[in-house]
Amino acid sequence: MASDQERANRLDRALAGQLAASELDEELASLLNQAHELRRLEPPHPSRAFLAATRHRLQNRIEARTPRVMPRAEKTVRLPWPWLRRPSLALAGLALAILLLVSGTGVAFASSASLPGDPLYPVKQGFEQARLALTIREKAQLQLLHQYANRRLEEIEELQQSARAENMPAAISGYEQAVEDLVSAVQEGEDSQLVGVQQSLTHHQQVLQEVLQRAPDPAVPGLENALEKASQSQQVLEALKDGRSPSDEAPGQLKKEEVDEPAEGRTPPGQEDKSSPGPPGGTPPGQQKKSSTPGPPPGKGPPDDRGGGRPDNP
Amino acid sequence: MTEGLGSQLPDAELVARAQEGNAEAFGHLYQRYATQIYRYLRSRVGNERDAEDLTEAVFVRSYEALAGYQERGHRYSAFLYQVARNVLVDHYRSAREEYSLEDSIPLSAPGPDPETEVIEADEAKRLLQRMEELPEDYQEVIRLRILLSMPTARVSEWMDRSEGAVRVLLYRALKSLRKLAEVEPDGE
Repeated sequence: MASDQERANRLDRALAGQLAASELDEELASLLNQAHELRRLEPPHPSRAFLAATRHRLQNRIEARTPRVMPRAEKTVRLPWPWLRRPSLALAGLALAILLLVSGTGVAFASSASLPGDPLYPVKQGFEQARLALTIREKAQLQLLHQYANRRLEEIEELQQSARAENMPAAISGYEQAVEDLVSAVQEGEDSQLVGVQQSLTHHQQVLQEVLQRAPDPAVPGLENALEKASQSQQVLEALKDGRSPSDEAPGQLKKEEVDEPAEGRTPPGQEDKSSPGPPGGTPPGQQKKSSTPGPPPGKGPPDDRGGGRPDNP
Repeated sequence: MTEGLGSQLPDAELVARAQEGNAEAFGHLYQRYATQIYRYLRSRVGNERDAEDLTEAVFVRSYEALAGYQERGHRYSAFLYQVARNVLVDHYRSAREEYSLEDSIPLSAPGPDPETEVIEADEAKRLLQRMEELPEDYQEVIRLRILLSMPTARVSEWMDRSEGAVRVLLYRALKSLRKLAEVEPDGE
């Protein structure tokens, strides 16, 4: 008679499809059949909308509470004019603007068709920043940001058409940043502007989908993320248009009073003292600090005393 | 961090960046494991909405606990699983109600033969009823390996047992379940 371990190994191989049921004895075949019956009740997958909205919300929460060390962290601070958020770029842009006045428009024209990876592309960025810096009215700034986001999308298309996959990550990063800038600015704009940006984002998703279909494998993950960025941004604007807070109304959200306002002394369901960073009910493996309130797991089995410890052996 | 590149980084690298406050890195970790965590929670709570709320709570808490997390041979997904179990504990405490396992999992869409589907579905539900009588670790290994179709290696990481121990645990769990089903073949 084979040991439990040997029989368990055979059953496991059958579950993995490496052994046919006909190769099993009666007992193991019966267990395999039982496992297949149970698999009929497999839990469903989450909706894409839920996954995307939750990711967006989580990232916003982190950005809101974290002292930023990354350059883009500076963008969470709303200042009257976008260029004030990037003083170095603004200065560079102003210098370029002066240079442009002095030397004519040749460089501007030459750089306007450049793409990420081209030597003149930083010049193009500088001109864009300069134009933004010299634009005072917020409505006009928003139009520029809208134009820049569309331009970043065109750059992705052109790189795709030129088979320059190596420059695609930079272009995608630029696109995502431009969309982020645009969405951030339009939240303080008029409804008509918000609708206009929404329409653009719809168009962006169509274009990105087309680019994605023709993209080489290495570029696919980045393009998928860009597509997701456009989709998430559109959801945010949709929530705003409906008069909801974008961080509160996405599917699967936690109730605002439970999670989104911990700073006001409200405690998420079951969450313990915020001063204790560990998850309540036990300490996960690898976690340094011990949680003080181990509790039984759900279900009717005996309490699980792991709290990061090791369960009983079979 | 470029999205495309970030999504290809290993967990340890993303965790390190997230610990420095990089929201995108944490976003990648979320993207990588949200579906598994959601499906696990969905197998344990009564409805989709709760599963969504709890999934978000797991990632909020895991971020809050991230500063103290060190891999030490325990993968990040196993860490998330432990957070999920703790979140479930709190959820049940606050809800003050027990969910029946059989109510927690919706049946898949009916197939071409509805009559056979109904009979098979009844049989599967009956097995789930019996499953609630099993010890917790037996239930859990069936949940992870069978209901969620997770590979043995991943179950081993999550349950903090060797792969061999997981195989034996599953074998014994299924045997116990069959025995229970045979004792009361007609169910309730």
